[in-house]
Amino acid sequence: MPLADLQRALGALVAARAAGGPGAGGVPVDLDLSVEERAWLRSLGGSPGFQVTCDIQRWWRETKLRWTARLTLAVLGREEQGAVIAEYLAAVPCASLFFATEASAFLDYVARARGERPHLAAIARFERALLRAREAEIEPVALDVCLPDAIHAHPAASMVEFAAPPERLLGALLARQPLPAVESGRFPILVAPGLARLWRPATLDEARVFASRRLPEQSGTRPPSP
Amino acid sequence: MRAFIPPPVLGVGFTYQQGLRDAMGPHWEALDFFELSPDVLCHERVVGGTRVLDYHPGLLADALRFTADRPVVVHGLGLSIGSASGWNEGYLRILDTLHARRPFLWHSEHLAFLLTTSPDGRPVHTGVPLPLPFTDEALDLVVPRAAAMGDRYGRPFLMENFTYYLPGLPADHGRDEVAFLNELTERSGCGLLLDLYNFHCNATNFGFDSYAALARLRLDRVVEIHVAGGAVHDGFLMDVHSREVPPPVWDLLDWVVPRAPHLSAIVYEVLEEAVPLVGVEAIARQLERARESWSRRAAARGDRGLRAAG
Repeated sequence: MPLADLQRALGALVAARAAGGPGAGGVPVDLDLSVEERAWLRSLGGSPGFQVTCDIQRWWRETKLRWTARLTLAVLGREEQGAVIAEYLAAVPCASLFFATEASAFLDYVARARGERPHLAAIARFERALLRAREAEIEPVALDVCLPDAIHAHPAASMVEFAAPPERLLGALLARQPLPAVESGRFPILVAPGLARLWRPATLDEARVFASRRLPEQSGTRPPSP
Repeated sequence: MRAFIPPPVLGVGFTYQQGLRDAMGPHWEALDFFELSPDVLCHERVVGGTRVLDYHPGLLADALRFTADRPVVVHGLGLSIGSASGWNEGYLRILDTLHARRPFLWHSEHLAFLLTTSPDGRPVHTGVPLPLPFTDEALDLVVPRAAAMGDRYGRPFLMENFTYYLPGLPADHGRDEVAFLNELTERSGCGLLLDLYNFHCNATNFGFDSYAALARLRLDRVVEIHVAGGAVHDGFLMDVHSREVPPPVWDLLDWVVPRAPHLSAIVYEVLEEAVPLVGVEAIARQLERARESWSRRAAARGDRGLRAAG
């Protein structure tokens, strides 16, 4: 009955209830728990205090998303936000208390899971790219390869394609207006550290060059401190 | 038993929060010290599949610059000192960095755990701090860690009592939270950060007498006191740092202060996100009220607050 197993079991119960709502989860059977510990853990399921604990976990995860993924949630709209957040919380376990980490996981999830919704995946990728670029401005990424004399995409830069002119799409989002219709043209957006507001519209040529000039995945190392 | 070495006396402080710098305005001047929370000055990145914590260089520089004229103490959340699967080594590195840049007078952490593993061994973040049982094994885990934290920087380490909502926590020898804290401080030499609002929440939620419990606590190991206010949810008093301090907690503070001979600091805690709800003037009133309690203690002992020059 080591403490580690008790904590494993408690962590699993909290995660299951926080993700799935009432009635979800059970005491894992393959842990070294005493009879008393198992009885205690089973008793938690019906306790209001356990529910409050799980509510706190859920609230905190949701708060992180509402603070950090505002554009994507705006696309979803009030009616759908709760359902998509609940879906995400059930599908993706908590990994961190940090806002950007939780938001990045959520935005990746939305882009994958709701790709059919007009503009939604693009905005999720845009917001994800902004997080990445913002982090790179804070902590510059060292280039650990020897660069030949050519243009290369910054490892924290992204090219995102919108399905409508960005000023109309983002303007509608910020003004809480109906989103513009999907257009047949391509509207690439460059997101990168060092740009004013971290993004600007790109040309189709830039998008083509960007796609052909991406560097191999960087290690995430940073230059030595001055 | 390890010796407990009381730290310097400070007075009334507040947590440095960058978003409040302008809003708090002249109220910062009334503080004797700042409390820094490294967690809010950091960001996470993934290096080779491992999460690494680093300071935002700008946030850290701003924090150090703003607090340069007064002593600082550190209060963290991310160490997960109670994790049987291992505490957060990355968090230790950011403490090391902070202490090297700006030596703190003491540092504190929550008596809880955030990190564990799944039954199949994968790392798991609980997403909410969870309490430790009041068992011998939990003490044997935390005591050496608390002692090590005191040794690491040569500065006192304080353990904060935590709010929990789970009933019937496993316990050995009939031990309760007070007995656990007492044994922890006696064996490790660490001090106590007595969060009176957390204590009040637990007493309210579990129906025990705060004063009777505090009378059993090693008040001679209390170095810092936190006061705060929160909200009620489903009948539970919640530690959410979102309100003014309720009268029962001020009463507890007035009761404890003359009984804690090594009390060095009082901090009013409020989340930055809750400041629009509470209001800056109300925050100032909380600090003034804390200072009333502090002044009574200071007057009785002839203490002076420590305020470092430049």
